[in-house]
Amino acid sequence: MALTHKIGIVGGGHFGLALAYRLEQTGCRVMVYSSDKSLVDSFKDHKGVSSRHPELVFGKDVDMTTSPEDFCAQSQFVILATSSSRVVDHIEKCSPYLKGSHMVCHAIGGLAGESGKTISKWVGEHTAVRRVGVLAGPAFAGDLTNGIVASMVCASEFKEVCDAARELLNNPPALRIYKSSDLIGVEWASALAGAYTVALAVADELEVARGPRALLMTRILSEMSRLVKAVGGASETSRGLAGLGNLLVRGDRKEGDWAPSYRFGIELAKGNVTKDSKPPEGGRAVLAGVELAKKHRVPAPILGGLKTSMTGKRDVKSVATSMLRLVADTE
Amino acid sequence: MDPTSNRLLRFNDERQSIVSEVVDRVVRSTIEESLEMGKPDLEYTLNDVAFAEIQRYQKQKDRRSQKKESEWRQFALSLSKLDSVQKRVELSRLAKVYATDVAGNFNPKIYRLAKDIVPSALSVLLSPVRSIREGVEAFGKVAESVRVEGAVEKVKACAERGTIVLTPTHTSNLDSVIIGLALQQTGLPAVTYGAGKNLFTNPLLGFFMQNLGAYKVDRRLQFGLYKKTLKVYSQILIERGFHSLFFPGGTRCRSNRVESKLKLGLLGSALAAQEHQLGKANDRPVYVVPLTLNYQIVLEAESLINDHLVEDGRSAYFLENDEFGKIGKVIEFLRKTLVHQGEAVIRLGDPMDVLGHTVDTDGIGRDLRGQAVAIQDFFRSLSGEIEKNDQRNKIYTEQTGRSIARSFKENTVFMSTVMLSRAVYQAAKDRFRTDDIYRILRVSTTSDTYSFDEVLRAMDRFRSTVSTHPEFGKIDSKWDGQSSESIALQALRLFKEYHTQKVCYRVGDDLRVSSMDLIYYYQNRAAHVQEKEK
Repeated sequence: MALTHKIGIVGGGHFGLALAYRLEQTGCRVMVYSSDKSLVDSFKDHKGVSSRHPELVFGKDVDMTTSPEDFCAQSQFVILATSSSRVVDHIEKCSPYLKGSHMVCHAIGGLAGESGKTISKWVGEHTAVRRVGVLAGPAFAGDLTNGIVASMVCASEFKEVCDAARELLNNPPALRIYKSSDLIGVEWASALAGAYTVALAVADELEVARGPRALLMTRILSEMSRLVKAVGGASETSRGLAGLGNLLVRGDRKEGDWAPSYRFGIELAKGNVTKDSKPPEGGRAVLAGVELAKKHRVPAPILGGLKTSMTGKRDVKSVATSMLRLVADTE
Repeated sequence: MDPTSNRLLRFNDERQSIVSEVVDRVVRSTIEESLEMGKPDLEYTLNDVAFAEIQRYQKQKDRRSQKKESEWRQFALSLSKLDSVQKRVELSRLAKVYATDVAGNFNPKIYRLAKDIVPSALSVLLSPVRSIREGVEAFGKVAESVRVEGAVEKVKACAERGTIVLTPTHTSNLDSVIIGLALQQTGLPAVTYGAGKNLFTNPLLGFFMQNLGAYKVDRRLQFGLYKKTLKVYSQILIERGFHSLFFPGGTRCRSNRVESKLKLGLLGSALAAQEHQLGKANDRPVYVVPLTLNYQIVLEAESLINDHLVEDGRSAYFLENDEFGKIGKVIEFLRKTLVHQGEAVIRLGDPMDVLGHTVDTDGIGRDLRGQAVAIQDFFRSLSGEIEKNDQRNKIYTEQTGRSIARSFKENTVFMSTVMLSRAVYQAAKDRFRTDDIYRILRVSTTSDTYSFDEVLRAMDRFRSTVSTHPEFGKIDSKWDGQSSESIALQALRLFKEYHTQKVCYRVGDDLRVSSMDLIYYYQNRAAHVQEKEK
């Protein structure tokens, strides 16, 4: 069945390729778009082995291209699997070729570039595509490659997008796809998980004890629920794969495999972040979350505190101390 | 008018086949749905109808209703004895009764409708033919004094290329008639629309509504089969190329705010009509045309705002005994409108496809970046085939609803009365330091005065905000280059003439407000305009 449908993946990075690999195992035909010509050339030269990820050996059902036109013509179900900063540029390039017949899901745990907008909103405003969705959850590239149990939620207002994602991607136990209609909730929960990862990293770097760290974690959850609800999502979405699920993996201090947002939190705690530093995904989500809280008039002391130390207004230690107190007072 | 473009003239020829197509589809979809629900024997559906009809006739005490009630009781009792074939026959019979009732009003003979529907001899006596004739004349002149502006040429082109569905803002019961007459005078085709059965009891309006293509909607019938019949009926009319009109706001807007919460049922019919035609030979694209109707003075303003303020109005579909029910009041209103240039402005928004894409001069939809879109693409499934999907259509319809709401704002035309009310209301808000209308109503008195100068400055600020924010709407173009004072003076003159209270009047250098309710009502038209803090 799946062989008749072509899946397009935007992004030839680790996650994009791992997803392509997993999908080929599932029986799908996959086209990968990358703007990196040398990557695509070497992929073709080496008959489906990526120079950067030699552990992934592809069969004939995965192909790569640098042409957005070819890519869009050959894909019906497009998955954006690139970084939140690059995605804006990729959408721009594909925009003339994306039609109303495409379904687009993104697997990006952040907001579109510097815009503070969700990626589905960005896709809707910059392409003809209406049927958009999000794939979110704690699935790592390595998990997908190795076929270790991975789960993601596909959320879309359109039931057919969730159904398509399930039909094409679901391949338990290696990859399990759950369905949700709470698009906006899942997108924000996933993006905010990046923002709160920064908070957890700060706490870890300042060697906050386990008790207060657990306190912080519970407060993060209720703050995230408030924000998700304010923006029109279901508050329980923040406790699902996209929110709590992502937070637990990104905020885990495992040596060597730090998420960029976690690394940013550590730098923040060390005092290496100035107001001129360019924040990564999680840092941008902090700023967007604060704006959201202001707009909807909900308290968000954790994100607010992070912002004051990111912008250099207060040093991170005093923020952390007062944050925990403030958090305890607010709830 | 070219008879081929005015499809309404064909209606009588097609009526029979329309009714039978409606019955056909209603029956088929009802059977499908009851299968999906796991209740294939239709008893549930038929019982639902019987129950609703018994309830309806119970409320009325006359002998005919009593007879009807007992007939329905008989029917309900007999249901359990019917086999499945007989139940289908009954379903088909009922669908035909309702479809005929909806369509049946259409009759080209003048006055017949008024004669048929006016419920008693008494009301015929109360509305002598003389006043109807006067009313007819007055209406014709009013329609002449209505200005139609906006995307007129684009809409004409769409009406030739496909079928248009007008979706106006809803302020007054005069709306449909005024729109119908004004559009015809602008050279736009006649439209068909569903009008509440109660509106037909006003002989004057009934006359116009009938001639302008109204079909009858009985709001008392709230059960599934009737609602489905209406929906299918409106869909089939669109499919057959009858230009249509419906009010997405549902009922007259009580607060007078520009509507943002829209009812999407009939918009769904437009989408379904478009979907139904995809891939067929000689398909006619369906275009949605949002438009705003902007009155200087609203006939029913006093009742509407009262209803809004007591907050129980939302559930009531129409108000008993409001100004509209009294034919004398309607004619008086129309006469005054003529004498005092209380004209209205109809502004047509850009036509869009059923998905809310603005269409270009060739009738092709454009996405937000201006790229052309092919409408059928949006109905393709993953396999690339066009595939029906109700859930998808529901989301599309919501999206189109948002496009209409946006268009309503952009195409709102601010009339003098609205601008004056806005300025006065701002002054009242500043005076009492609150945004809460109930508080303002409580603390303000009729002896409060507001500096006329201050009000004019507030109006200047409002005008400058609107002129730099096209998304909020437009100032009535007749005021281009005019002072805020002349706007205010005209508004004061109009207020003095129409309502039972003066609303707002001048005393030396000051203004006094005699009806803060009405000030609030008129200012609400501009409630979505956000101004920078002073």
